[in-house]
Amino acid sequence: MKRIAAIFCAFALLCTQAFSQNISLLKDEQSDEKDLMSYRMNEPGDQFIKIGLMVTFPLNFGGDFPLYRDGQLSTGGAGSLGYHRFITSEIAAGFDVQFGYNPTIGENIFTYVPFIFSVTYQPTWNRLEFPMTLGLGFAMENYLNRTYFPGFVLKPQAGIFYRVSPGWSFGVEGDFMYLPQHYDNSKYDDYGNFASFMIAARYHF
Amino acid sequence: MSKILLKTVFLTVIFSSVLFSSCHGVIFDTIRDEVKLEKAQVTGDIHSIVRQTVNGDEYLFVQNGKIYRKLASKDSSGWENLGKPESSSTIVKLAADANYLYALALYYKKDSDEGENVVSSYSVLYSADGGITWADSDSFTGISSSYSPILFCTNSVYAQGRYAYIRSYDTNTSAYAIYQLNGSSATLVYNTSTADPTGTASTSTLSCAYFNGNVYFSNNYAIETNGTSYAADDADIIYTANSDTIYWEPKSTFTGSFSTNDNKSDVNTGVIYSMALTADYIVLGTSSGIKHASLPLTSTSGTSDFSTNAETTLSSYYEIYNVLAVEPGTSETAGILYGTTEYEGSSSSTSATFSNVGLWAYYASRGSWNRE
Repeated sequence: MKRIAAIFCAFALLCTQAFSQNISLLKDEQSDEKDLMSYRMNEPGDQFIKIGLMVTFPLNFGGDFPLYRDGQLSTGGAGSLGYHRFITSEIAAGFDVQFGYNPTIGENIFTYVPFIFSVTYQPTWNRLEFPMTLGLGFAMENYLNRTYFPGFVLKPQAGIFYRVSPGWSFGVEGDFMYLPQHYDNSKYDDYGNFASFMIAARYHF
Repeated sequence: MSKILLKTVFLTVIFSSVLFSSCHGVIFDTIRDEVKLEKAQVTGDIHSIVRQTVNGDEYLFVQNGKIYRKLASKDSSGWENLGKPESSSTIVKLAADANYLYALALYYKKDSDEGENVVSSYSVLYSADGGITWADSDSFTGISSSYSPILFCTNSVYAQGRYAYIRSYDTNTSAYAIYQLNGSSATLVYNTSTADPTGTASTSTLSCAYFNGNVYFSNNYAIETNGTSYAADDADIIYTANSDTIYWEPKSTFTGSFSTNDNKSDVNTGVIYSMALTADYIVLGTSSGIKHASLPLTSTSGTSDFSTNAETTLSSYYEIYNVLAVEPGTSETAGILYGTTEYEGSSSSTSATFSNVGLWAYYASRGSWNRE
């Protein structure tokens, strides 16, 4: 009887060791799985819609920051709406449409509607996303009864966004926009340089 | 594969439509010609810019309900406000001949039923001292609002070629008649029973011009000559405009009518309301802003871009009922020009602003158009 009890106790002790190893192994496996799932902000195929409002500064029409009141063009504003899709976890391609305006010193209005195709490189850190975008496209530009279409648009952008939830991020972006105008009579050739500061929201899906 | 094909077709359609529907108006280069606008002194609806000699000096007169005058040679702003001849009147038009300045005064009355002011009557006033003092015309006071009179004049550069007229309803003939004003009195020039000396007047006459010793009347808004001298009648071409077509005739062949086959040019502007001649351009006040065409006109003449900021100030948003070149013998950019702006419709639908309605001027000394 005493021998059976001793053997039983020994067996029980051995079993605990065995089980603890299994639990340890299970924990290790779970830990590995966690590493494998390791939290990526974006995956290929992820999409987002971006909507933003911006203030636009005309850089080469005279005047001084921030209102450029004494320049031929003054500070204006713009709204933007775009769709982007991730090709990889850090590179996205997409399309933005903007509507912008700048008042002139003669109390007229210059308006423009750029259609921009863009590629974005977006590294992340924790919940922060750092999109860097290069956009190319064309714009419809209007002033009084004059229209310039299609006008070439070149637009690099950089910003920072905070992912509040899986579906939403909010942030700011700065960009530079180049709008050249060329004519048969080259004496009218000109270009516009604009810098913008945008507050934006992105819906991720 | 079909999805790729669809996308390719879609993108091709987009880019083709972009490439083949282009238009290239000059924008940034034009914006750089804009200037900061001055605070306006003479604003509102201005229906006349009139020349008159006062004590040997050439003056210009305008009205916006009140009357303003300025030395014609002054190449900067600063109009003398002469006010209203009568506090109860609103001055809606001016005219002048060699001796008198005339004002068409409008009087309102209260319509209690509708709760608004309505036009009650018209009167013609005249001044012999350049707008300082005024008196009623003997013949044209209390004209019924049912028959709106039209006051007009030759407005000739040549001082002795200035004549003033009124088209007023003649109850005897039950039709409009034309009278030449002479201070307090007036002389019948035309009615349905009496032709004028040139045979050009009608019940629909709107304007007139002094040319080659005669006064010619027109049913068009705009009629003008290329005279340049205050002291001599040196005009040798007469112009008129119907809609957006300009007609012209030389002194050697003109007998009162314009050919519809020769000497005409469709300049493709809006309706031409007024014309001003300079040495190198004919400046046009139209329903779509200020325009100009290079002289001499040909059958294929069209308008061209201004080298000044004319089109960004008296822009296509506005109707330009009056243009005037103070010194027609000088080139457009070397002289003094005036224009008036009005618009119809709401500001939100037209992009016009009421603050820009009024008198504008170009001075060679500043090289730009601005508010007066």
